[in-house]
Amino acid sequence: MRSPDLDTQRGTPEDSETAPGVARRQARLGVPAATLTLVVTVIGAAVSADRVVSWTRARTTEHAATSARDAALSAGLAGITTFNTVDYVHASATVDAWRGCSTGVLRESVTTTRARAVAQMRRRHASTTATVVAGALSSYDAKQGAAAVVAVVSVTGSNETFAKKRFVAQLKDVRGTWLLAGLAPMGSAS
Amino acid sequence: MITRTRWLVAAALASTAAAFATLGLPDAPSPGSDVAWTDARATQQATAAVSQMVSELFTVSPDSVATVRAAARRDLSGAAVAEFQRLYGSVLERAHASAAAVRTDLRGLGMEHLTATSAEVLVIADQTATAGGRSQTGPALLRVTASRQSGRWTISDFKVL
Repeated sequence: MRSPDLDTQRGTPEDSETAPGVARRQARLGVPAATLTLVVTVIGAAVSADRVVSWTRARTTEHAATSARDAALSAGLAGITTFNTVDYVHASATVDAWRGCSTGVLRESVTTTRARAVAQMRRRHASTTATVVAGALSSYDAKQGAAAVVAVVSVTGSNETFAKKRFVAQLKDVRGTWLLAGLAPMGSAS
Repeated sequence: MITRTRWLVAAALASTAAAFATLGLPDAPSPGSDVAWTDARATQQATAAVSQMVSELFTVSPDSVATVRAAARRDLSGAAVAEFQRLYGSVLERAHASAAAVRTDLRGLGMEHLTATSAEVLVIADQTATAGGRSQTGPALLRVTASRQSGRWTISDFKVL
């Protein structure tokens, strides 16, 4: 019995005429072909790896961007709700909540008017709850850390009074947390 | 040796196939991704288009009936066609005869959702209705759905909230 390897290495005339011999010879690669095949393998693997890495990076960046955007919207809507929620029984906590979700001039304003706001709430027995009817980002700049949210909220008072109010809130990203930098009613229709 | 050769050829083929397959991976977000505000340019373009269409469509005066009708034919599609007719059909019909008018002043627009082919925009406005010499102004809140085909936005649906 002859070894197939020996047959193909020798390249005897009879091998070249028989089908199994041809198949064997064709199945083997010379050194240049083997090198080329190896190079193709390496390049293919490198291209695949590069594409997968860049695709993963793009998806990660996209996910981070949408998360930051959604966080800005959530903070804006929550802030508008907080500033329209009043409880005279917990007046100090109410103002603390306003202060906690604000920054800059708005926060300063809440701080300086705190005593007056608390007294006013208690005197009027003010109590309101607010829920967002609809809201969306009206501007957003992740690089500048600035955004604006427009929203319509329904505000219900303790004596069952009800009002739909429209607000635009300016937001600022303060060390990864979106806070209200400004809050204003939108051109009210009479 | 043959086994090694076969492995090498198989690896080359697999590697090449993988390379071609990964070349198809998109760099840009998929068409269904919500790119509202993460794609500032697309957001601004869609917002501007919706703002202009809303302003043109929802303000009717005796002088602007033909313009509004043309805008409706051009800028409305899908369910918005019937909805617009339901809300504005009678105003357009009697605008000339009774000097009826509706003016919409935009107060704010918020982009809620944006893909390559659709947008959902929150429209906050004031509307002033005039009839018989009397005017009444009230707040208006709309959710407008816009669709993009061949690079052009149309309002495909809207709901009064």
